Amino acid sequence: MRSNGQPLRLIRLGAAIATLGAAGGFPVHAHAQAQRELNISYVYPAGGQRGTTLRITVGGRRIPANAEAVFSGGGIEATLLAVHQPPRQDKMEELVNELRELTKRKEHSQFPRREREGEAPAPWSPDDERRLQELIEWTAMANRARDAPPFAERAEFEVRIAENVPLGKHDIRLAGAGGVSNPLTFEVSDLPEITEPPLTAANYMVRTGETRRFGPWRRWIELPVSEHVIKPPAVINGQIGPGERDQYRIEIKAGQCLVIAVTARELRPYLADAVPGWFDAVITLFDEEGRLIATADHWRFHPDPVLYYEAARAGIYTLEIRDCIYRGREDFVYRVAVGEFPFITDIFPLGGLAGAAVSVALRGWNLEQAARTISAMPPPGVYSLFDVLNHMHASPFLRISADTLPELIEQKRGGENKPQRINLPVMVNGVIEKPGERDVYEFEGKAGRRIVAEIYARRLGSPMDATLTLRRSNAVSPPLAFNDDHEDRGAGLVTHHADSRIEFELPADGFYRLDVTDVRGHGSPFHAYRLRVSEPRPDFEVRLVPSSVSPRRGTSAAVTAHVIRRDGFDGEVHIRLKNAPRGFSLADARVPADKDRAAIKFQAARDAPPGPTWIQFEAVATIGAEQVIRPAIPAEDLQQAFAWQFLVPTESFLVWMARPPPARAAQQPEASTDP
Amino acid sequence: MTYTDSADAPDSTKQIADREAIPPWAAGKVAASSPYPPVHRLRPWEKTWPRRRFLANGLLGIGGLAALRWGAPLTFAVPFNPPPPRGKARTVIQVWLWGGPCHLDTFDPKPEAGNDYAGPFTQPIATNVDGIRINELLPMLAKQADQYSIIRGMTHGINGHETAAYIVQTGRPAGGRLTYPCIGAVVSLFKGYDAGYQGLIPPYIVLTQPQGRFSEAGFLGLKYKPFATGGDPAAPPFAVEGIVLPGVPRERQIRRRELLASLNTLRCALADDPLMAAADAAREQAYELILGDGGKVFDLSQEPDAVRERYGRNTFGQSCLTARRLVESGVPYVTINYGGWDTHKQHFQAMRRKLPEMDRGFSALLDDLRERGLFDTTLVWWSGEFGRTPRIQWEPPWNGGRNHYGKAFCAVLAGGGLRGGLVVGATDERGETVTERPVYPCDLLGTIYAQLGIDPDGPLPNPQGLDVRVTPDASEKVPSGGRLKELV
Repeated sequence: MRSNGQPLRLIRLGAAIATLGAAGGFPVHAHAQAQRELNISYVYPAGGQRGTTLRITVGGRRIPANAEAVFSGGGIEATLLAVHQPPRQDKMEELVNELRELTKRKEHSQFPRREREGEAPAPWSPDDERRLQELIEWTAMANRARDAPPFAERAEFEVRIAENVPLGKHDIRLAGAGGVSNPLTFEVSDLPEITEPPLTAANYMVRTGETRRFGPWRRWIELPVSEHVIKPPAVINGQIGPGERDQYRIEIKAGQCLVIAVTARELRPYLADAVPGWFDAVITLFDEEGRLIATADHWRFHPDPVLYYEAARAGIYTLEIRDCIYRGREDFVYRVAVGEFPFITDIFPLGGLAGAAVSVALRGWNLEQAARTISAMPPPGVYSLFDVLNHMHASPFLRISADTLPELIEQKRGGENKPQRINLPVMVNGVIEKPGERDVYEFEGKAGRRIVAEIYARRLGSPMDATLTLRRSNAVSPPLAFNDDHEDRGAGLVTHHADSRIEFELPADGFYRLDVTDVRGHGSPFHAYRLRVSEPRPDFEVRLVPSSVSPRRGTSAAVTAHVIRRDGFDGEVHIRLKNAPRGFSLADARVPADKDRAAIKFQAARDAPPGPTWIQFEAVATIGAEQVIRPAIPAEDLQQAFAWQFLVPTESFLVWMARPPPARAAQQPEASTDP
Repeated sequence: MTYTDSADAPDSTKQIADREAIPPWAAGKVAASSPYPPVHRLRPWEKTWPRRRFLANGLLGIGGLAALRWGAPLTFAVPFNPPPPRGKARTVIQVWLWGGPCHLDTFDPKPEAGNDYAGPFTQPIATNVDGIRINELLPMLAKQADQYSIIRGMTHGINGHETAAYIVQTGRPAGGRLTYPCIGAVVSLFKGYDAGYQGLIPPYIVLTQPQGRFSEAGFLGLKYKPFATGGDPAAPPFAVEGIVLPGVPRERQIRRRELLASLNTLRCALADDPLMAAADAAREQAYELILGDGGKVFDLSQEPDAVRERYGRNTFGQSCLTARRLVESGVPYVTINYGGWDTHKQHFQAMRRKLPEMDRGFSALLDDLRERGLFDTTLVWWSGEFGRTPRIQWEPPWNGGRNHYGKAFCAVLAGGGLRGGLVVGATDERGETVTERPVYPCDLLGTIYAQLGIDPDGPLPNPQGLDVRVTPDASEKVPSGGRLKELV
C-alpha cells in the first residue's frame, strides 16, 4: 500500500513510528487485568514451510501501529510491513467522493458515451486501477468494521522461518502498545506451500451480497482467480468466504497414493459465535471429467477431514473445500496437505510405561515402517505423536500416553466374553476388534477396597465410545457399577467425553469382572483403548488462563489457576514460577483445598525486562506424604457455539512488557499520514 | 373440565347419540361416559371439507399454503365443542420479544451493580408508581406503570432459543412424548371456531412472521396453527398474505373475480351439487375477506395519521396498531413477533434503537386499548423466551454483548382484568438469580388462561385421546411457583 496523503492510517517500519493519540512518547497500554484489549481473530496463512520467507496477515481489533508478531518455540522472526485500519468516519465522505470520481472515469474509459461522435475513451492507467481497488477496499473495511469489529483491522508481516525450527504448532501473538494478544496457531511444515490470495473486506461483501450498500463502484470489485496447477506434495493455504467453494487443480500421476489432510479445526478449535463452533470443512475430489471420486467431511470423530486416494490415472484433478453449511468469514482459515507423505492413522498400544522402551505398531498410509520403537517413554502424561515419535503427519487427535502402572496387552481368548485375568494395579491395552465385541477382565478384590477403572480411548484419538461395567464374577450377577461417558475437564479439545470411569468400593472378597464395550456396538482394529484398574491415585492438573499477560511495571496481572482434581484429590495447590526469570513473581499463588480455581497475581517488577519473556510454571501439592510437582499448563478459556467453555492448552505462556520509547529524533517528515 | 355455569355442563349421553359427527375411525374410541362436552354437529360440507379449507382454496393468493395450513379436517378422537369460556378477558395480545430481551436493560435495572452489569444504562427512571423504576429509554412506559405489572421472578433455566421458546409458550419443558400446543393454539381451540367464533379472520394471528422455533399447534394439528400475515404493516399497503396483493388495486381484483366467474363452466354444469354450493359459499367468504369489510382490519390507512404516529411508523409500532384493530374485531389471540433481541454483539447499540421503538409502540397500545374501552377485556403480555446474561461479555467476539439467560428474566402483564402497578418476584443485586417468588412459565400461562375463563387445570382435548391438562399437573413434575394470584 502506498502512503500518499490518503486518509488510511498506514504505518511502515523503518520510518518514524507515528505516535497515535499518545501525549508525547510511546504509549504504554499495559493491563492490570487479565482481559486483553488487543485481540487477534485470524492469521493467514496459518503456517509456512521451514527455511522460507512468507507474508502473513493477522486480523483483529485494537492492533497497535507498532505491532510485533511474537512466535513461540524460537526460530521464527517477523517484520511489520503495514497496519490497516478502517478509515475514520470523518474521512469517509472524502474517500467516497474520490471513489465516485474514479468510478465515473473508469466507466467512461470502458463505456464512452460519445463514442459515436468520435470522442476517445477517458484514459485509465494501472495506477488508477490500483487506487480504485484501494478505495473500494477501504470503503468495505469501514462497512466490515461496523458489522464485525473482530475483523476490522489487519497487520501484515514478513515472516522468516529458519531451517531448524521444530515442525508442528507454534503460538503467534501480536504485542505492542495495547499489550499482548491472545495466541493463535501457526503451523510449521516440511512441505512446499501455496497460498491463495487473502479474503479482503470487499471480497467478503461480494460473497455475502452486501455490495448493494456500495455505490456504482461495486461492479469493479476484483475477485482473485487462481489459475496455477498444484503438484504434490504441497500444503495449500486458503480462507473460505461466505458461500465459497475453493477449488484447486492438482496434477496427479498414475499410481500415486495421495493423502489429502485438512487442518482447520486444529488451527482454531472453537468459535464462540458460530454453530457449528468451528470451521467444519468438507473436501471433495473430482477427476478430469468432473466426476466425484471421493468426499469427506470428517475423519473418524474429528471434524477435519482426511482422504486417501490411489490414483489409477494421471490427470489434472480438482480438489474442492468448503464449509459444511457454506459459511465463511475471515477466520475460516485452512491448510490442506496433499502428497504421498507417510500418514499415521492408528497406533497400538496407545501408550506405555514411563521411561521404558516401547514398540508401537503403526497403521496408516505410505508408511515406511509397520512399527517404531520408542527407546524411552517420556514421564507420565499424554503427548502428541510428534512429541514422542517425531512424526508430523498423523490422524488429528492421535495421542500417546505414558503411565507408571504395569502394562499388559489384551489377550484374545478365542471366544467372546471369556475373561482375562489381571492383577491390580494394571494398565491394559486392548482393542474392540469386531462389532459387538466385549472385552472382559477379571481380578480378585477384597472387601472395602476402593478401585478405579478408567478407559482412555477418545482422549487418545481412538474412535471407541466406551462403556464400563463392573460386576461380580458369576453368571447371574447384576452390575455393581456402570458408566458410559465421563467428563474430563483436562481434555479441552474433546467435545464428546466418550471415555468411561468407574470408582467403586468392593463389597466383599472375591472375583470381579470389568466388561469393556463400545456403546454403539462398533468395533474394528482401530477401536483401541487403555484400561487402567487400580486403587484411586489422587492427582491433579493445572491450567493457567490466560496464556499471555502484559502488566505495567510495578503492577500485576490476574491469572486464573484452574485445578483439575483426579481420584478425590482435595488438597491445596501452590503455583510457582519455574526457573523464575528476573523481574517477575507470583502472589496469592494458591488454590485452596476443595476449590477448583483461584485468581493469582502475576507481578512485574519495575525493572522487568522489556519485550517478550517466556514463562514456565509449576504446580505443587502434597498428596499423602509426598510433595508432588506437576507442570502448570498455560491455556485459553474458549467458548464453543455460544454455550460451552473449554480450557484449551497453548504452546507457551508469554509476558510482554512495554518497550521503552525510541529516543526523540529531530523533526522529520512522516512517511505516512493518519486519516 | 369445570364450568362457571352449570347450565353449560356436558351431557355425556347426548354426545354418544351424536356418533354421526364423529369421524369413522374414531367412533370406536368414544368412551361410554366421556367427560367431554356434547359433540359439535358438523354441517354436511364440513365433514370432508372444513370451512376454512374453502376459504383457502382457489382464491387470489391464499390458495396452496393456506390450504395446507388450514385444511386439516377434525381429527379428535372425541370431537370438541367447548362452551364459551367466561372470563374477564376475551382476547390476548402477546408481545413476543424474539431472541430474549435483557431484564437488566428493560424492566429490572441494576445500576448499582456496576459497569460490568449495567453498562451505559446507569440512570433508570422512576415510574408513576412509587418504588418502581425501569430503563431510562422507556419514558412513555414509565408513565403507565400503574397499568401493568412486572414479573421479575421469571425463571426456567433454559438457554436454547427453541427449547426456551417452547417452555415459555406451552408451559412444559421440551423432550417429552407429546408436542404441546402453545397458548395461542390453546386459546384458538377454546375460543375459536370450535367454540362458536364466527369471524372471517382466523382466531389466532401472528404479526407478521411465524417464529419457526417450535410448532405452535403441537398435537392439536394444523387447524390451530396461527395465520401469519406476512407483509409489513408499516409499508403501504400492508400486504397480508392471501388478502392484499401488492400492485393489484381493488378494482382489478373485482374484475379478476368477474373473469373467473365467467370462465367457471364447471360451476354452471354442476350448479345443484352441494359440494359446489359449499365451494361457492367459501369463495364468497374469501372474497368478503379480500374485497369486503372483513379484510379492512388490515387496512391501516383507515387510521388517522396521528394515531399511526403515536404508535411509531415502524413495523413494531404498526403491528401493535394492527393488533388493536384485530382484537377490536374480536380475534381472540394475536401474537406480535418482535425480532432483533438476540443481541450477542452490539447489544447496547441495538438497545438504543429498539428500546425507544418498543417504548412507543407498547405504550401506545396500552393507551389505545384503554381509550377504546378494550383494556379490561384485552390481556396483554410481554415477554421473550429468556433474558440475557447480566454480566456483559466485553471480550471478543462479543465486544459488549449479552448471551442467553434463562435463569432469571422478566415479563409484563397488563389489562384483561389483572391488577397493574405491581412487581412480582425479585432478583439479586446483579439480576443473576431469582431471590423472591419464582414464576415459571406454566404459572404465567395458567394465570392468563384463568383470566380468559379457560380452566388451567382442566383437560386439553387432543387427537390421541390422552388425558392431558391445559397446564401441567403435579404428576408431570414441572416446577411451579404458583399462579399469579397477586395480580388477580
